[in-house]
Amino acid sequence: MKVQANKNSHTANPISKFLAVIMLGLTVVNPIHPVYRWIIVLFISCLLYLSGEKKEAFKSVAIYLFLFRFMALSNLEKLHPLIKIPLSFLFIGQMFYLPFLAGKYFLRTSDVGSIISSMDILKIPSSFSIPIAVMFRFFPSYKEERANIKLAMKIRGISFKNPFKYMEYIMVPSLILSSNIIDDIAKAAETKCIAAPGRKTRYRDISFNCIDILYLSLILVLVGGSILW
Amino acid sequence: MSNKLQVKDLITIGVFALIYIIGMFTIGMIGVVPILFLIYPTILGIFMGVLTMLFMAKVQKPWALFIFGMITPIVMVAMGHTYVVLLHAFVVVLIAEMVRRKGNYKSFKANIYANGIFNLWICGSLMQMLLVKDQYLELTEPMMGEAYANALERLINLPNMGLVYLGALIGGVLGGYLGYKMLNKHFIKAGIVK
Repeated sequence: MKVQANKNSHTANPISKFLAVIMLGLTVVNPIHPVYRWIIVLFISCLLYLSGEKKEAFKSVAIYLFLFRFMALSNLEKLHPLIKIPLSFLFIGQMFYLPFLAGKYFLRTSDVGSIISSMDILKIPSSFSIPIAVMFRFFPSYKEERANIKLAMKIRGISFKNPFKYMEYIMVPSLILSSNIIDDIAKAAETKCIAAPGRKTRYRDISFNCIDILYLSLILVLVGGSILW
Repeated sequence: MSNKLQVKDLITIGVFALIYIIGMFTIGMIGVVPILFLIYPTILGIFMGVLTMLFMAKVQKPWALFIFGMITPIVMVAMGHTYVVLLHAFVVVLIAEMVRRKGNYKSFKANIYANGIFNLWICGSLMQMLLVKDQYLELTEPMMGEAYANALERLINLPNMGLVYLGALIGGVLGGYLGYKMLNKHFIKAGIVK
């Protein structure tokens, strides 16, 4: 039995989400009209809200509102250069905000299963899809191991005072631990016949629905239109 | 032993890529002080050398470094960087892979040089700043004044980018060398690599 890609159909599929990030990346080089930017920000925030990320949705709009208001300020010229430099980073933030927001939507609302199914549909070779799947699978266990290493360092009184030593003490155990975990995952994967040729059955099915079409066409029209005309 | 990438090698690539990404973002925290952003590639190369060297010692097969090196830019693009990072990384990582091939994937010397070249990929994120500089100046000039624009113009330009690349290369080679030392000091002892 296959499960629908997401429990609620209010989330776009990972393919559309990734395409959207790429397309919005174009707006960094080819700026689009502020009104269009607002439409895209509000739309993605709505999508975040519909996917259950309500807090993130409000936060995204609030941050953009702040950046937008900031851009309208003038006479910062007299400020001290040391204050100006961090402020100038807000400009970079504003320029990269659209692709960043789309990226947030992609990473926050896509589960591993649907990402793997999407890679199947796109016929991405297994030499790329297996490492990416492993990354998602390995992340929680790595977090756990890292907490253990940090605790061990604390007990032995090793601090960040000497960054090189600290890096060695963090890197070496985490790489050795990871090497052991690699062996474990490899055994588990082989047992489950990961290398078996042929089509695999996936738990999650990927489908294109209304929200994908709406999401992609909105971005295509606003971004593509702005670049062409 | 077959020279093709096995499932275990692919899993190794995935796990090491994740640790690389985590390390990259941890070290990336120094970017809070803007000027340090220019030496970030060097520092990254020094600290991550041990990881890439261990990775290259573990997987001595064609295309392993290429796949490993392309995953991070893909993740960066998924997080909102432009396609520039991806194209730039493709070229750089391909060259690093070729250097490794020259050493038949086993030579430590070739691996150290490959690590130096591989480390250049991160410069792509600074290159995209160069690409959008004019637009950035247009945005900031009315607000920040001409002096600021001039200072920025002096700081971020092609010759300076050359220095960043050189720094990244040196950092990468140095990191590779340190990584080689670490391999001998810890990992061979622990039986992780032979």
